[in-house]
Amino acid sequence: MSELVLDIKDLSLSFLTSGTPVSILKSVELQIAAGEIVGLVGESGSGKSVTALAISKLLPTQITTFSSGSIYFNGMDILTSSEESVAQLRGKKIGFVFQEPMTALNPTMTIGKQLFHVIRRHSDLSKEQAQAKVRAALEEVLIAKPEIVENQYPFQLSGGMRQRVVIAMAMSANPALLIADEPTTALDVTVQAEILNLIGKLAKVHGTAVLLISHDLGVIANTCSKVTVLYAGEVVETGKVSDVLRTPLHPYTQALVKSLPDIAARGSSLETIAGEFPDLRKRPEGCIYAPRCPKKFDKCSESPVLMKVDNEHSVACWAQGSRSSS
Amino acid sequence: MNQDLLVVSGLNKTFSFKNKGVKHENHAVKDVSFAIKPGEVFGLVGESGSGKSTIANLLMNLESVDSGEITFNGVTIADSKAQNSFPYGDIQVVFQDPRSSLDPRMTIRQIIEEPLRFLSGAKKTELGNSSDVVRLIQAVGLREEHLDRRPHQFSGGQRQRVAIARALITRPKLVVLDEPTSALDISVQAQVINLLKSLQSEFGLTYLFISHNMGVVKYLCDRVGVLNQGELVELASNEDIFNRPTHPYTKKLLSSVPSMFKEMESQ
Repeated sequence: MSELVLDIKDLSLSFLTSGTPVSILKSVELQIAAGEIVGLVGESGSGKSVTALAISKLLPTQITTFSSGSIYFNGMDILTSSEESVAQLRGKKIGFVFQEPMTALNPTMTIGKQLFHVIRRHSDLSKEQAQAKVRAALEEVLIAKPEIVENQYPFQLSGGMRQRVVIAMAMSANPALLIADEPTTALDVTVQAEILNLIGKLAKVHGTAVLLISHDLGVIANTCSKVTVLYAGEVVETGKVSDVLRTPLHPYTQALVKSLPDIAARGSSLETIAGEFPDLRKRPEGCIYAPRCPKKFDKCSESPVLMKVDNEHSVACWAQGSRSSS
Repeated sequence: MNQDLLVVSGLNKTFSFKNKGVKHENHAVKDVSFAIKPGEVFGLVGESGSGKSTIANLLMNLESVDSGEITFNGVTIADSKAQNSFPYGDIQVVFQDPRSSLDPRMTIRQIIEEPLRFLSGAKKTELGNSSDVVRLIQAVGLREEHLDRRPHQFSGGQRQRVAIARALITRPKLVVLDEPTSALDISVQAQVINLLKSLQSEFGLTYLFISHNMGVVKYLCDRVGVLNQGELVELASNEDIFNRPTHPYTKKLLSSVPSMFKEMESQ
């Protein structure tokens, strides 16, 4: 296995809300090697974005408590490192692409100028060299007329073009890790396909490790090699995309896949998940999914850990664990 | 009776605006025609800017028609003359985001009952005072005690159920569903889709379902119209659109959808 760019182990954290700590992430595990695209999938409130922000220490320090675990980025322990040294990584070694490119870009500055500033900030290039790099960065994200786009403002570009610019910016310092948080959710499907292709191509060319966060299983299936499924801040299943989505083992992943209308026969009812998302202020004892799980049994009153089913496929479910050991 | 419930013919809508003294025109809906039969689920798909929501707004009398005509139950309800009476209550709408379509200051009961205040004529006499509010809140899967709460006390999926109950209180014949599940999580989306299906048979509804989500449209719609930049480029049965698309744009749209199952089949 190649060198891990990102190695998150047993990460638990809580937020202080109205004076009470609320457990947001519990024992999260996530590894990404160079050149690998790993998907992080889950519904609203599952902790996808919190995980992304934790990696670059962007969570509000006053209310965030890390209760266990570690985040290693290229061998550096992020959680024990100083703010200054982590700040050095942001934008340079860790690039970001967020959902809404209009809010990620400065509306008062031309595309060329903001890209120029980012390049100068993260390199030792002269003004002339940086100017040339602006052009090259726009060409790399397949913008057809970079000499025109350079002089345009964000509002003059379409959503897809804006997201290309944001990707150009994130990739301009050649980061080791690219965090793309719902990068195509605000885009049309035909544009989405182009942007996902672009991210895949850049990761391959530069050997960038990519964390792709999405609620869309189709996006994950088409772009990632591995996927981690989060439910209420806990990893319930992780493995190769083909394994996890084709033969999901956790009852939650199974229900999620079956609730998609894409393959359901017309006339049949869609499968739904009983009950509601748990209130994290009162995190249930034992398995987090048990209150909604059709397969729960006595053992589920204890918290399951991620158990290996085979080399790369792991699941946090007692029903599965007992089956594989028997 | 197999008369069409809704007939849209030759519909046009252009928005014009000025920027730095220069007049711009956006031809949002170009000569669009389609008809919806009673009891049908008719889908309109397309990307942003394709004119989906403009068509919904024209149907709901929220925008005026430039040219063309909309008839409902054989009666003209919109044309360029703009002196038609709109059949309030017979056509209702559910929008995408229940966080912004429900008034946060009103109770759920007030929200659901509000459309009744705008009825007139026979509908007013029929529905006037009595109300189906308790029956409806149960029909959408919530409970009577929820009626005295306010929107912020509900999840996104529950709020969309309230918006659906509000649409049904006037006993509409046609419900326009404008991206009704796009703001919801996958598992919640499945619940709302199941609900829409069961309400359709329970209340004998006809749906105009507007969406960019091909999976949902394929599952729910009997016939589908594909919009591209204001034009209806293809109109066919569900079967034909998804298995034998003919227009290049429909083909492009379908091939762009990232389906996990497409990926798996190719492996």
